[in-house]
Amino acid sequence: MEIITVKKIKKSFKKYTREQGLWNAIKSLFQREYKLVEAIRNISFSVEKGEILGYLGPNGAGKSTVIKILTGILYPDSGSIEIMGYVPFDDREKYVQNIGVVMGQKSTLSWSLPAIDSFYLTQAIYQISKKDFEKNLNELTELLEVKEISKTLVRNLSLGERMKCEFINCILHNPKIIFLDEPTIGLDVVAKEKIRNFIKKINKERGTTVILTTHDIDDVEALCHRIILIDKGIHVYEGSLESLKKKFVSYKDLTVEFEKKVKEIKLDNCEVLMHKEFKAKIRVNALKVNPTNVIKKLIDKYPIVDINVDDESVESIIKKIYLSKNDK
Amino acid sequence: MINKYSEFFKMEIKEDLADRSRFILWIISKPISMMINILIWTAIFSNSNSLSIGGFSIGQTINYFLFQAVFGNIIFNNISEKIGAKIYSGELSTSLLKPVNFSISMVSKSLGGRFFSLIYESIPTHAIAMLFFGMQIYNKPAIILSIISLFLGLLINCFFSLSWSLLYFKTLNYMPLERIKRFVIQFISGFYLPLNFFPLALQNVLKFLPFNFLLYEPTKIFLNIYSFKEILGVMLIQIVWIIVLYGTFNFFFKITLKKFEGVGA
Repeated sequence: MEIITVKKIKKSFKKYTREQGLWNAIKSLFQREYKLVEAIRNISFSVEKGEILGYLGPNGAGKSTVIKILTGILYPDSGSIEIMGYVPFDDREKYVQNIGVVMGQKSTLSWSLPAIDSFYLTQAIYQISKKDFEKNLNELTELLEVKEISKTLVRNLSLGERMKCEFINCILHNPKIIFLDEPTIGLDVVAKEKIRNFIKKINKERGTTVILTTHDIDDVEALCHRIILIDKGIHVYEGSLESLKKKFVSYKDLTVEFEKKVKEIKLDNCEVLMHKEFKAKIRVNALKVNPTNVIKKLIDKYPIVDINVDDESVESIIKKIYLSKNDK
Repeated sequence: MINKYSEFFKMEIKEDLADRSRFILWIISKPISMMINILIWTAIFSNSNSLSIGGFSIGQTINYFLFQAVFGNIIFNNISEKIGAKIYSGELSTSLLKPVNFSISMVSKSLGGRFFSLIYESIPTHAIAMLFFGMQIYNKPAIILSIISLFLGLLINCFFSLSWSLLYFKTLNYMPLERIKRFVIQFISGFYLPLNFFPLALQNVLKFLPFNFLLYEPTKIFLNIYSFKEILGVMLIQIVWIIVLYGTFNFFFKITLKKFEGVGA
């Protein structure tokens, strides 16, 4: 079932520009040049209920703008959006009752109060019944292990602790969709892991749809069923991570261990990245040869103890897609 | 519904309570400003030939300023400054993500803060003003009615500030506009001077603006100048202004949001 349908949205901003220097600064007081920046150019997509969608793109690609339009903060210039039967920017007050948003860079908690006070504010404004609220709060605080933390002032919390509280605050009202804008930014490995498991669990147990933007590829690999890549305001890829790999992987790396000393390695369509007496790293050009054939040849030709095959990392595939689009 | 906004009311009080030292500093600073005002006006009256200025005797004038010092702070709020800061930091986005009416939630917070200030600022300063500066209470019901009228004035000021803050969407540098607003409001609401000290022409213009209903008219209620019927008349006009400014804000807020660019990350 489609829960989000976006059709042909566009959004542009007016930006004021000037040349460097004092004289230009003074001139700009009287005469200004504006540039129309197209942040989003004609985007359409849909999201199924219960899906975790990764929304990726380099800085300034338009990710945040799309999220802001989807959450009803911004009006698109044209196009239509329907989410759970609502038009976000027109039915904002009613619509936001059904969503939760975590922005890694912004806080929804009151800085000078303990987080627990903000939770009670959330209870009041989303009109959560006392029973549901307590049950939910207990479950979430246990899941994220923040029972003690929620009583200290938010300003005294570490970033990881605060993010956990932000998550609780955004999920207390059982939203049907949660939007996560860089939720793991600046967190350490353990905290990241915890947040990821939490998102997975919420998605599985409550059937919550998740839209996630991130720069962390590990987040994507751990969580997302499907990804959308956006660059310069247009979608450049839409599909699962696996098909992305299939489509764009151009090489595989083989790490080989030999039984005896090997002086020279010669293979067609391969590049030897590293070669020590008993060890070698070989990059196989997957566009020209089938890596399995290369492995067969290797075993035939050389005395081999162990072979390890690594795919090209998703990070470098995505980098390639961005760069190739920029060339055009 | 009410439960939703009462939590904002309480939230502001909780945030105020987080700052203990403010309470003590306020009690210390208040008598100083009260004393200065009294010295200025005693000097002015002793150097003038007439016994009254703009129809106010020296006793009434001093009581006017004592009332400003004790209860005047009720009408002043920092709504527009807060909104300016929210636009600047991009935090406005998170406010828009809550399923509440933006203006009413802001006003509820303001009401909470000001109601609390009545208890922790006004009552102690009132005691000081009575004991040390000879503040007079002309009429007990009048003081209650004047405080009610001040809260209506606060609502007018809130919705005016909300409307004014829409200008801050146009510029990131909101502080100059904020200062202009604050100074002009203090001046034409009667905080620096009772409005009947102004030239008659200006007084007539001000009658058609909401600002004399912030402080000046409530203070006149306190000074026992009005009959009960006239007091009801003042409050009725206050309510009309509240409705008008609330409508104005909502109309322009919708238009402004369409152009909002959601700066910040």
